[in-house]
Amino acid sequence: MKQEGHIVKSYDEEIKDIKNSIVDMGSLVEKQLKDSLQCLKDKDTEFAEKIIENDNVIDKAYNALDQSLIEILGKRQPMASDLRTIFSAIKINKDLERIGDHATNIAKRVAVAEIVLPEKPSRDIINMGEKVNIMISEVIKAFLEFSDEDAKKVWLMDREIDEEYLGILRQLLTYMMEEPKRITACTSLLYMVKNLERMGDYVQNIAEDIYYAVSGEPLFDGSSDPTWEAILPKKK
Amino acid sequence: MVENNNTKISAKDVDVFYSEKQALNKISMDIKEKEVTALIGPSGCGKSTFLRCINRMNDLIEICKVTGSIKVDNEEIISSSTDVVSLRSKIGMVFQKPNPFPKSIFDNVAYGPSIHGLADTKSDLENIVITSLKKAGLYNEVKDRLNEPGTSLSGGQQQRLCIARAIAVNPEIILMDEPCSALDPIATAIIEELIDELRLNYTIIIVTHSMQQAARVSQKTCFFHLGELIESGETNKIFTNPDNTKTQDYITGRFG
Repeated sequence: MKQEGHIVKSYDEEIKDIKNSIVDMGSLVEKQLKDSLQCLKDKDTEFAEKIIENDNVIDKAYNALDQSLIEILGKRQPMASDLRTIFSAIKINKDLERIGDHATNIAKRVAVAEIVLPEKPSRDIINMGEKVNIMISEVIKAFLEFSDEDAKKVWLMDREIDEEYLGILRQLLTYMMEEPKRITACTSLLYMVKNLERMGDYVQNIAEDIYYAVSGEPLFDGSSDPTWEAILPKKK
Repeated sequence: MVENNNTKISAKDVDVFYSEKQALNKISMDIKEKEVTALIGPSGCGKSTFLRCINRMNDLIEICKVTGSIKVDNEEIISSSTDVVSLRSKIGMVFQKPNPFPKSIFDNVAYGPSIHGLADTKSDLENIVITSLKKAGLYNEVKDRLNEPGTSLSGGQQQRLCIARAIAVNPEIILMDEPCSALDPIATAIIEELIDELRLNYTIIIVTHSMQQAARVSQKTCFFHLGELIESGETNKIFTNPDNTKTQDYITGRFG
């Protein structure tokens, strides 16, 4: 649907500001994850402390955006696509903040790890984390482009994350069974991999919100679309 | 909410001309009974003109010509043989500016039932007046001063008096043409609450310039533009996800 500007130009400005703030939130969160992965790679506990502190910056950005969102709701009483955009932005902001928390948790694990973390699963977790970071960046792009199709593509990317999660989980279990001394270190990694898996789920939520904001329809409406059914998670 | 499927008013291909100028172009819509239908659209879009077709108010404008078909309870009303007086007794109307008669509060409400012969005795008439004032949510505020002039009331009370006057003749349909545009937010909220109650017993069609009001009070919304009906449907759908770009642009304040 083509979108002209509002008659009240300051309303356009406010919506633009909200969109920019979401993009900024996205960048902060991406950076937080990138740093966490780097500190895991370097086993840099000092850097980990800095990352943990940096979570405050994300929380502040979250609160500021939350405030702008409630103000625009109260002031403009948005309708139709504006309403869907604001409604989605509220949820996206919250989910980004949660992703930031999970990224911070990785740094927290590195900060307290007094033992040597096994190399192979650490490397795999870093790889997985980089993929999650690509998802975050893509979902923010989909929001900026206001593209339901792109949002759908990002949604699908989570399948790979889930597979990697299971793979690393199995790997860690094997490590622990083989060598009970590694249990403490592997438990730390287990938490990290779970953090990453949850981040992927939050990105999926964001993708669903964007899809709704753009199209006005839920990504899954229960109707039987064969192309969708093929990719839906299988019931066990 | 229980869905009802009884069509109260059915319009088909309604055209309205003021002299040469076409004000409505092939309007077709069904209005369900005991629902609130909101007509929205920019000034001059034809929404009030359409409202006035339903009780044949346009007859009062000499240069106005209405063609097409409007059926109320399956009876054609756009016809020279239509009994306009009986049609109007079935359809009450409330206007933008409260317009009580220069009479007492009691007489304002009693006037309609008297001339329509709805009350045989004085106590019958009293009953009708009291019941109507109660239905309009005004009785408690005026019960001690029924003999004071209607014009002595506040704007919001006057509007409720007009609603009481409209429902005193026991109509089935109530037409409201921007009933709250001259009222403050509290008086508006009281009228909206009243509309919510009235729709249990009446079919209500309301013209409003306030999107939020349309979204709050109605179950169906019809968007008019330049004399055409652009989109109509469930209010919840229209205000969250309209199908038509023009509707979208209008309700989001983008109309250029």
